[in-house]
Amino acid sequence: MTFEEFLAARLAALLRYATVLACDPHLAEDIVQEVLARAQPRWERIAAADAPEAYVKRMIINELASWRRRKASRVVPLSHEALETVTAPDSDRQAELGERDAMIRRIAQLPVKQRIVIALRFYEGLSDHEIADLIGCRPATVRSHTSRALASLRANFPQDATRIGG
Amino acid sequence: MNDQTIKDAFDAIAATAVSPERVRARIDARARAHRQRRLLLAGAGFATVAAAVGVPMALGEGLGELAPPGFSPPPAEVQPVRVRAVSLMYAPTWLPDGVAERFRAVRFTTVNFTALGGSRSWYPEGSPYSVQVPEGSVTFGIGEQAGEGETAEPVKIGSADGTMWVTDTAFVQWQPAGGPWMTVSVYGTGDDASIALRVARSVAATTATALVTMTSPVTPPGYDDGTALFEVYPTSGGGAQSLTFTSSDGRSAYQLSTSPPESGEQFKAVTRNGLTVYLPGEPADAVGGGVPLTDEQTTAILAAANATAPDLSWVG
Repeated sequence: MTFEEFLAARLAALLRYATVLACDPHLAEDIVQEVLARAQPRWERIAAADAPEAYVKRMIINELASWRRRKASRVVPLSHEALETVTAPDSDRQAELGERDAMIRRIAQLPVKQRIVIALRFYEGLSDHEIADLIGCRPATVRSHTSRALASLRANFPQDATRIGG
Repeated sequence: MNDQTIKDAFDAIAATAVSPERVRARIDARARAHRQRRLLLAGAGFATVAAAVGVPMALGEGLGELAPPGFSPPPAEVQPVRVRAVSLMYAPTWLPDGVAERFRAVRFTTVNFTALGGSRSWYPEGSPYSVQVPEGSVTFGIGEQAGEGETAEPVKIGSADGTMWVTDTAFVQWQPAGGPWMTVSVYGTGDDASIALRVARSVAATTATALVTMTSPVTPPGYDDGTALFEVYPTSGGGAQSLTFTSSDGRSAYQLSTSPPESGEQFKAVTRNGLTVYLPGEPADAVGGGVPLTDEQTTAILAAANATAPDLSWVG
């Protein structure tokens, strides 16, 4: 598969993937652009690997982590609309947020490692072992991040009667 | 709240992703300009090999501790450095005022040291060598064809038909009859296009040579009919040099260098003649495609490798 073929087939999915991890479509755009520009000169080697898309996704994860360290940015989108504008809604608007938008807000406020683990589990449908392989840590570390993240997501959901993440 | 709530939230976040069309256009433009600059800067040397052995850092964890350079081969096995002169083939006879040469690379066959191409860079006087090309720089490359920009226009370089295009850098590219592809790039001078044309039109054959001051007599399987790239540039410590070997099929490579690997990268090293020669190892989870050296091969290569102080008489 050439680089052009890979872009044609997978760029849209990679952008969605990066947006989920970053909780910010514009940051995701920058990260995907950065990663693919770096991948292109050595695409022949990447394509020769068993799973080039997995490799690029790993690059995206690591770029996101390093980007956060470099920019110390903290974007907290609050709703679908807020993801476009990246501005915090006022208190009246917050009150109108539905359960889904409240969840988006909680996801966006998670520490980046916890958010990545939760996104890989719920958006990508990966197991603890698969996540551990992808981000380069032990499955126990994944479980720890998952547990903490789910605890944060449950917080202030008084209607929560269902065990999540089980 | 349940698992579906979280999945729905992620689906909603994913739906805000930007259009792939505009990202693709930006990737194409950026990658093209970047590739062209790097090609001209270093051929397939420091940049490419560094990329080949580098892998994304694992989240929250490094690649491991630097391996100590504890390898000590018997001195009796080491052959003295046999300095080889490799032709620079072509050279510009005109350059803008205020630039000084900061980088040289020559590519050659490992069988008989026949020149295949190379790269030379001139930076503004007073600018040290760096991988990032500073403004006001000129680079001349031989043997590599950079992809043309979309706005390329035809130009004449002597009797050869060439093209010129401008991104943040002006490029002039041509191939004389029976000769290799050649490219001049000029960046950040304020008059890049006209300077690039004038430099290109001044290029002539030269009898000048580059001295290859690093040797590695051991040839691993697959490298019998390969190529090598010797690179050298001045540093505050007297100069850095590297020798990159590419296998006959072009898929595998390894590099001997007097520059320490980046932190976290595994390597072996040996010190001779006051110079330490490093051989980085390929991390186990690096992208496949080439054939990595075995531990025995890296040991044998370093046991026979040798280097002497580089020739920097050309530094402006």
